Amino acid sequence: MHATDTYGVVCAALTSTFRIPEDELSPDVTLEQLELDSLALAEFVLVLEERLGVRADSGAATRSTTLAEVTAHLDVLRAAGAAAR
Amino acid sequence: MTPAKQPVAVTGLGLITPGGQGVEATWEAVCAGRSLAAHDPALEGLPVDFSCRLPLREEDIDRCVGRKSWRLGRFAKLGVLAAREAVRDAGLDPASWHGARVATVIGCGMGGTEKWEEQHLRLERRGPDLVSPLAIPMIIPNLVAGEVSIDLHAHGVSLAPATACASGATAIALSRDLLAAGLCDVAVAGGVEAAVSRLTTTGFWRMGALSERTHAVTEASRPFAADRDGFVMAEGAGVLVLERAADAAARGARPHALLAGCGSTSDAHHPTAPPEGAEGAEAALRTALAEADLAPIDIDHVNAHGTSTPLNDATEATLIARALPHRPSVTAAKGVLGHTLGAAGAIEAALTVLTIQHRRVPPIANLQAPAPEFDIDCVTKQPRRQEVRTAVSHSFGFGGHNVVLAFTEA
Repeated sequence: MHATDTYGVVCAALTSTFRIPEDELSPDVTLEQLELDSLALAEFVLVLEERLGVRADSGAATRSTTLAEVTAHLDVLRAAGAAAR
Repeated sequence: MTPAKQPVAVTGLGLITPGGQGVEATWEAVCAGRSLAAHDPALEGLPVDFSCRLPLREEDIDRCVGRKSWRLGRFAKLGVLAAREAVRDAGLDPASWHGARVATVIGCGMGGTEKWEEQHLRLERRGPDLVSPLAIPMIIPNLVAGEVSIDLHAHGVSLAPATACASGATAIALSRDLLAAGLCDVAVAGGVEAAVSRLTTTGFWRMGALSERTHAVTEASRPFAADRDGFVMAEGAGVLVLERAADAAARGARPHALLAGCGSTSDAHHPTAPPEGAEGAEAALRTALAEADLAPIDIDHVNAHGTSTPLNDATEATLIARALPHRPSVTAAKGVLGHTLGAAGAIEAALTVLTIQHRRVPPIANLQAPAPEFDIDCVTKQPRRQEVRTAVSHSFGFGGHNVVLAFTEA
C-alpha cells in the first residue's frame, strides 16, 4: 500500500544524495547499473532509513538488486512497522 | 651556505576561491581589492558569524565534479576541480600521460571538519547506527590527494603535508624536491581547505585569532592596517603543475613562471606564536633566495602571509623591512579572500606567479596605509603596474612552520 511513495522516496534519495540523473531511474534498473559501490550502498541504506524509518537488510540492497525489489522490501518493512503500532 | 638549485617550471595553475571558480575569477577579484567576507548562515549565533565562502552552490560544484561527487567531502571536491584546471592549463592529458611518473601532493591543514562535527552530533543524538559510513573518507585530510590521484590517473607518490597555514606552500616545496630527486616527472602540487565549520571557527575565535568586526564584515580582514584585529575564515583550493624546466621546454610548454627556490624552517619555539625576531621566517627567506641564486635586493615583490592578526603582521612587516630593506612592493591576498588556512600558501603562490606574468600587483583590501611603525611598501587601493621579475611568497603556520617560495619570470 506504500508502493508509490516508497518508490518515490527511493528515487529521491538517488537523485539528491547520489546526484543520479532522474532519467536513469526505472523500476528494473539495478543498483550496480547506477554505479553504486559497497560504500554507496551502506550510505543508501542509511539515507532510506532516515526518510522512511525502516532499515533495509543489507542482503536486500545489493548491487544486483533492482529499484523495484528495494521498494518491495521496504514496503514489507514499513507494513510490518505499521502493524506493530 | 645553501647551494643554488635548478628551477622548476610552473606550467599550470588552478584556483577555486571566494573570488570564484577558475584562475581568471580569482585574479580579477583579488585585483579589485574588495573583501569578499559575508555573514555565514552556518555560523549563525556564534560570536564570529561571518566568513569568505565560495560564490558557488553545492549542486553546481557537484555537477562540475561529476558522478562521484556523493563520496567526496567539500574540501576534496575543491581539490579535484582546482587540479583539473591546473592540468588542463598545463596542456597535459591524464588520459594519455605516464601516470606512474605523476605525483599528487596536496596540503591540507584541517580536513573535513564540517562532516566531523555533523557526524559527532549524530552519534550523540541519534546513536551509532545513524553515523554515515562515509564519515571517515569525508574527514581525513589526505583524501584530497587521494581523490586527485584517482581523478587524474596519477600513480606516483601522493601525500598531504599538514603544516597548518603553510600546508599549500609545503606541498609546493616538497614537490620541487621530488622533481629534483627524479622521483616524478610531473607534480600536481597545491593546498586545499574547506573547514569553515562551527567548532573550527569557534576554536580560532577562542585563540583570539579571528577578527570580531561582526558589524562591518567587509572591513574585517585588513592586513598590515594599524587597526587590524584578526583574520577571517575562508575556504578554497589552489593547485600548480610543476615540471623540470628542461622537460617543460622539451614538450613545448610555456611556463607561467619558474619556481627558483624554496626555504622551509621551523621556529622550534612555541606552538602558535612566532618568536619576536622571526629568525625562523628570515632563515626560510634567505634559504629560498640562496637556492634561487638571488640577493635580497633582487626581490621586486613580496606576496606576504599577511593574515591581519596583530602579531603576524607586526612580525612579518619587521622581517620584510629588515631582510629586504630596499622596499619591494608588498601585497596580501587575505584582505580580499580571507584566510583559506591550508590552501592559502598554494593560492598565494599562484597569485605570485600571476603577478610576475601580468606585471600587476593586486592591492591589499581595506588598507589606506600600513601601520605607521611598518616600514614596508604596501600596495593599496588600486593594482600597481610593476615589472616584477622576481617575487617571494611567504607562508607561516601554527607549529612554527615557515615556508618561503621564490619565483622568477620564465
